[in-house]
Amino acid sequence: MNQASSEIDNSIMDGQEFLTFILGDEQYALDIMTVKEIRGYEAVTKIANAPPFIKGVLNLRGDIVPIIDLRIKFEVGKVTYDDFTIVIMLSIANRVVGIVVDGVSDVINLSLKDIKPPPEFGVAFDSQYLHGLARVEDQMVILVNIEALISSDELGLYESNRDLGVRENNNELA
Amino acid sequence: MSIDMSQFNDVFFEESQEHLDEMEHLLMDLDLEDPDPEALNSVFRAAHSIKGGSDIFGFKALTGLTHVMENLLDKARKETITLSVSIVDLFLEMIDVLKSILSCYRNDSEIDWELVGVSTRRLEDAVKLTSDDDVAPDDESGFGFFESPIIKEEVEAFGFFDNEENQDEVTNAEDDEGFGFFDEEVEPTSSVVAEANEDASSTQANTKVKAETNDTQNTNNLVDIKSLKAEQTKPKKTQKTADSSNESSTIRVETSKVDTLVNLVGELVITQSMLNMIEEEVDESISEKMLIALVELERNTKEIQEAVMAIRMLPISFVFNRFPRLVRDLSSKLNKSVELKLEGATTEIDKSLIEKLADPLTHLVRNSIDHGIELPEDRLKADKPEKGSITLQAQQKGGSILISIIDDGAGLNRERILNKANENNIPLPKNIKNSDVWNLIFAPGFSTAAEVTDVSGRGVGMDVVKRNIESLGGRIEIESTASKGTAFHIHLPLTLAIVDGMTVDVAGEIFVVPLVNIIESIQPEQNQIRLIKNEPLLWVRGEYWPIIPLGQCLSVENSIDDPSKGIVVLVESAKKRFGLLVDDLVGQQQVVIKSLERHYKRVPGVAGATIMGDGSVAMILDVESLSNSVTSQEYVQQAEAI
Repeated sequence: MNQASSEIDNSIMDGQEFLTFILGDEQYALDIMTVKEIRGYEAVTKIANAPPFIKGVLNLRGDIVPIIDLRIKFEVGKVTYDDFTIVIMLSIANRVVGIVVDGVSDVINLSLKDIKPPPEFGVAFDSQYLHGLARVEDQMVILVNIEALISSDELGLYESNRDLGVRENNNELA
Repeated sequence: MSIDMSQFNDVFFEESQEHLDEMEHLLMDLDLEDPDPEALNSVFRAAHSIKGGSDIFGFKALTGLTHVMENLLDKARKETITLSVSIVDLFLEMIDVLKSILSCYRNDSEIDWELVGVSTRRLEDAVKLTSDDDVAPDDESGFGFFESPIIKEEVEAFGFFDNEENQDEVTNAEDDEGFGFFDEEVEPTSSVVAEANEDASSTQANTKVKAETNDTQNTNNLVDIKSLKAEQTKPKKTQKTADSSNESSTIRVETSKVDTLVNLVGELVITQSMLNMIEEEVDESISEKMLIALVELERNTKEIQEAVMAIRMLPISFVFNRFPRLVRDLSSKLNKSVELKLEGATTEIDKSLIEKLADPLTHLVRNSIDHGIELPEDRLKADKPEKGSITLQAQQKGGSILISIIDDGAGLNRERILNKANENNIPLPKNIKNSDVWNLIFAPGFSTAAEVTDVSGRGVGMDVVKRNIESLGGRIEIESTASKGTAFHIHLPLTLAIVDGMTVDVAGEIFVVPLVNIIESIQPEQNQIRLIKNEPLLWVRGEYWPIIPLGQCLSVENSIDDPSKGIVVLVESAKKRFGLLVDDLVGQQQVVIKSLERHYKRVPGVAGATIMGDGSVAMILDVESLSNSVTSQEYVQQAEAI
């Protein structure tokens, strides 16, 4: 038991709350503290020469926020946009980004002992973006380390060696 | 009761910085032949304010130094010593020391006490040197001159003392209105108590006052009162001090508050265009009324917007004013003779730009002095006046600001730059144009200075300069003629927040082209278009223009790619002129620039995003970076030859 939890990403705290969401057939969960809001999918403005999984940007009360579709990036589920398609707006490291998912289901409260280390394979996401697995009511939930995923070079949402100072300055001008 | 003084530290730092800048400025302008007493008074007051403030906040290094400095200044303003270049130089050096101490305190870093000690001694020496030929000041001024022991007894009752070892004056001071002018020559540490009391008690002269020094604002007021009183006692000089009250017409506001205001106005502009869209749909019966109201609203919005933008605008002299000092110091260090000309210093520019311009400009000016201007003897040999000249010029050109740094030095050395480029393995095209050679100096790690000095030559500068300017949405150009001189031209947007734009349609997607870049828009005839190596060129009034299909460039599907079926917007960037092929023009409107990088990253060809009246997002094009895809400049020449 102890050994198991030591392999889990130590950024999780006991009793942390997670928002579960659906991608294709799988149940995923992410730290609820990163969630800014949940809204329906609406038309976005395309970004020139961006990879297909970056759908574009939209106006979130005056902020220009990118929307990414994890289903395209990780090739899970069918990529459809209908009235039930959900966008989870995340606020990570002072930046806002929206992720398109097939649905959100629940908020779960997990203690460390519920969490098992992530498998090396068999999940769409690379294990470096996972906190671990949890069993909730006989269902397997994959805990996504959403901060690591969003700021990863693989998604390339941000310039990797960006100068923080410059970004702060740009905020002022925005 | 203890009050947390640290909350006022920032205010103190800010004000001290301003005081130091003011002192420097006044000293630089001082006419040594006939020093303006009011200028000297202001310098004295500034030094005194720093002394008082630093004492209260416990910044002892500042207190000690300003204290001695004040002694010397006091003598200068009372004309008991004659100012000389060396004394002014000493003052300027001390201001530098104070600035460095200030930034140490500000950054919580270690104070260089040795430097403080050395500086204090140098000033004390200067005071001693001058005090030998000290003349007793005029009695009518009513100042007392006390020796330190007396201060210790009387300090609770008196405010202002100036002890200059002149005991004969004691009675004089006691006879006067009750305030004297004490300037203890005791050690800074022991003067602390006296100082604190001095500030407070000067308000009410003879009455005993408790030290009300718990608030910087308070201190400042006290200092002002004090200087006023000092003036009253010197009736001869009051006529020149009438303008000391003009500071009250300004208020100090946090930048963030102004930024919020600018953002809100941005939202207002968006709402305005939203209403304009709704107006097209409303019922005819109220349409006319609504239109009138909308026009009114539009005018008001525009006025509010201009007023708010004006708050952020500051004259560029805020940056320029630091250069006389820099040029003076640097040229004497390098044994060069340089004259600095400032032109258009009243040109107003956005505050956020001002702050970020200081470093690049400083770098360019240093470069001009170090590399550009030749040594006097070389200049004479080259039939040039011995004194080199550097001109800093600012002017508004349409929607942008042009800042130029022009020197009449040796010019850039083409050979040396090319050699250096070879050394650094930078690939070079054959027959490279001069303008392209000059741009090489912006490459990282590029320095052609023969040796590294503490002024320049490390080659870390120019690429940073270029990056800084580009991060402000500007661009930099170089003009250089051998032995005639070099000019750097910096183009900057007037403001970073709102831009006039033309909205264009490409296959249903809306883009905004900044109006400053647009020359004209035309619907080309088939016979105006010519293909050279499959690149379309447009013939307009005797000139060929390369055409960039915007749709292709920004990967928009189903856009028109036949120029004769769409509309070509002729635009101009730093060096290139070209046509942007779009499907249709939508209209002209003001848009608020929103940063894409806030939540995403920089996108090539796009300067930012904006929110349209319907709440959707549209990209604002960056004509500068779009021009990089114009490769066909040579074809233009070919075509013209045909």
